[in-house]
Amino acid sequence: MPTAAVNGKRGAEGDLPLAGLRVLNLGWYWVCATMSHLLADMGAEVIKVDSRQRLETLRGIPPFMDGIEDPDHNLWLHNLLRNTQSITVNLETEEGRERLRDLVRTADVVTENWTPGTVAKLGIDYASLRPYRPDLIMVSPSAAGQWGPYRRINTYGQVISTLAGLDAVQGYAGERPSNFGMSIIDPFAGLMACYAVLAALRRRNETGQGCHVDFSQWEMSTATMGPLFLDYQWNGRLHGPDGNHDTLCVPNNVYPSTGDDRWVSISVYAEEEWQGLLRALGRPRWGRDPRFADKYRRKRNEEALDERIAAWTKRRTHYEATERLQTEGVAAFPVMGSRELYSDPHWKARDSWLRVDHTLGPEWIYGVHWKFSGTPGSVRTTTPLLGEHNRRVFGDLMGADDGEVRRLEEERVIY
Amino acid sequence: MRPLENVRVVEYGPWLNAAYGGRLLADMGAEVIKIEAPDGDEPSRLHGPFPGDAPDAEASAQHLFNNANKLGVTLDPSSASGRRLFRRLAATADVLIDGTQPGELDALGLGHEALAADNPRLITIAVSSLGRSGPYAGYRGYDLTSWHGSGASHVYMGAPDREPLRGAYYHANHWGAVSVAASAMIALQAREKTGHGQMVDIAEAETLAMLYIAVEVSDYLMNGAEKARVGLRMDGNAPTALLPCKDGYVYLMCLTDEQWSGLMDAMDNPDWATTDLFLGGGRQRAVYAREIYDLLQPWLQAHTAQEIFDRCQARSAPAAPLYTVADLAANEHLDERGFFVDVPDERMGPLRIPGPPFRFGRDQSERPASKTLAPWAVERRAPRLGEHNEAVYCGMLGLDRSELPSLRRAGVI
Repeated sequence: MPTAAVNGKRGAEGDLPLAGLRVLNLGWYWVCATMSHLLADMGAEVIKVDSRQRLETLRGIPPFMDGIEDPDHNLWLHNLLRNTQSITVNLETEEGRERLRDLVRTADVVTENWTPGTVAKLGIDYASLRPYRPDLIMVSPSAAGQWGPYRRINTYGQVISTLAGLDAVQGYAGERPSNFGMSIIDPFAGLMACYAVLAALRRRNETGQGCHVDFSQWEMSTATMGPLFLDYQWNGRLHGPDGNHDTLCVPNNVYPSTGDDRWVSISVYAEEEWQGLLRALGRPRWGRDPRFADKYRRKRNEEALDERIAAWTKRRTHYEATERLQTEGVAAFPVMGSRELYSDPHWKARDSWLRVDHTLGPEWIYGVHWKFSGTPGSVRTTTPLLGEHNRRVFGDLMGADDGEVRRLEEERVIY
Repeated sequence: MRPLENVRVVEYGPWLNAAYGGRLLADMGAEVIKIEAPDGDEPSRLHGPFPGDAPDAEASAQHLFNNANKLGVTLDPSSASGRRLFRRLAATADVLIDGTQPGELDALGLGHEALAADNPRLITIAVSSLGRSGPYAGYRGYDLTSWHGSGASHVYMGAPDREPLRGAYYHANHWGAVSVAASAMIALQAREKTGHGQMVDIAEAETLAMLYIAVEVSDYLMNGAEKARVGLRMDGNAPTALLPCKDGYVYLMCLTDEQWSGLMDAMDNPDWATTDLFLGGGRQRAVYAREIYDLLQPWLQAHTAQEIFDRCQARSAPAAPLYTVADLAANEHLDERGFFVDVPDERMGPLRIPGPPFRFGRDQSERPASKTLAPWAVERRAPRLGEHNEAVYCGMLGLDRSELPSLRRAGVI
């Protein structure tokens, strides 16, 4: 069983590519935390700034470890705040804000996703922080960007995929549009924000200049649908929900297998894959049906084709169907439920899930998704308790003595 | 200076994950050389959409959008001279994006190890559905298998009694693409320290499973709860759903009591809302989810998506209209931000496409002094098939121009 201690194949943080980089995460919810831990997994030092004065809402959202509902048992954060230190600073006090600005002197990157205008009111926006750290990189992945008429809209990730045009093109074929059942934009934006930070860092390393990154989750999402804008410009066409079907691959669908709510996905692009599909299915007579003679005809008769494939998959498990099809060079894979995501040997072999020893008990979290052959990332520390690193950061790093830290705690500056 | 100036990327692989990954790097200033099949047999060129729906490999929207800003060469690595050319190209590259099926380049002797023998500084970013290690390392996969293999559909998307649904517009491939771009940056940073390149293996299904679905896996492993999709309406935090209204659909979402009160105020505080049954957070409202959705319906049917959006947002209640591509192309906010840009194309006329995913600036103002897209820029349209063969093979690799015709005749380029 891999654990945090043994997962880092290289062990020492100093060998990791982003060692020496310090990131302050002021963000709420998912996006800034995803961005920050992706950097931390590769060696960056990340400090999450929280406050008991205003606990971030995510800490109250289920699920919780052992069902215990307190901010330290939140399973979202047990995944997201690995390799992260936690400090609590009450930003409603001027001294808290000043301590934070002091800390920014030592930071390369600050990230926040509050409603545009909020950090300016607190005096911790880019203009206020830059005097403390002239080459600061600050990333603000807000819903709609820092400026423009909709800049202050109140959203979550699900709301943004509706706004950005993604929901309009997903759903059952010919039926109403469908939303994602969980916000997919948050982690997607976190991944993109990670790219943005790394690009800004490369620029800083070359020029010595920092910058503010204006990041619109809406625009970033809309940008993934470029070709559909050209179709509209040229042909006036608006795409709608089309189930699992696609113009590139035919067949392209999920098919029922034995078992309760178990399915196998099958996707065929090339003619040799089509021939492989027919071989896998035992060269059925319908394979010679003129309605399926070429890709164009298969697309036109896709429902009839899907029925015939389903008649074959229904008699097998999704794993059996997958193996048979892959043996013949056909892209197929089980539709994974959360139980199978854990039990499948492929993800085990890739250390997708790690058993780690948290202060509150052993637990499972996800590993490092990109596998670097030379400088692999690692989970070195588990999620901290709220404020666990106050003394380390304010004392050891910023030089406050014990008495001063105690005073800051008593005055609820550190809180 | 643009962030990726002086970085050369060679991109090989027919799918959107490699193409959009290369595009993200090109938009930040990298020189990206896309390798295509000499006969133009590329999914992005053959499947449109096309102007007037007339098939034309030089006018396919998937190609024109995802390959803008790149140089294009043709190369068939199945012959010995093709492989030699591929190796020479990789020898000059900082980054190779490999979007082929796992094992495909290795079988040609063009795997990372072989290429790194010529160029130890080479970084290879390999992106696929299931990755290049583990029991399924030899499996084929596409966007569909990435999406469904991640758990994203079974756990979150579709009706409970119907088949799980795929996400919008090759969304899993886009996750692969962004991972390509970000991991290339990390590997470049690592190379500054070590002097060596390396191989990065990205599996789209695994990426989504971890970054998107993980909390459900943790919940299952630690609390024994295996969650499955619930359909279009969430009970928890009701209303949390994409709901029909007078002229379309609107997404409503209430996590907190304040947001619920904002929604009620947007509805002019109907009589039934005076009860405190619905207060006490999203889990309290889950108990009355059915009643809440029923009670909202008459108001939703009486108002347009934009009216609901405006009224809710004025009261800090999360809401958004379902925008189509047409709505977005005409949207006042995106227009004010100059989001859509025109890429000049001498044959097609200007192509109006979505702009940057992020912008770098010198302030964080709600009224910025300059409205720049920098450092993002699209400086050239997507290449015609083999358009830069001479510039790349002769200009960069030093082949003599007299060698090109025989390579062409042999079908190598």
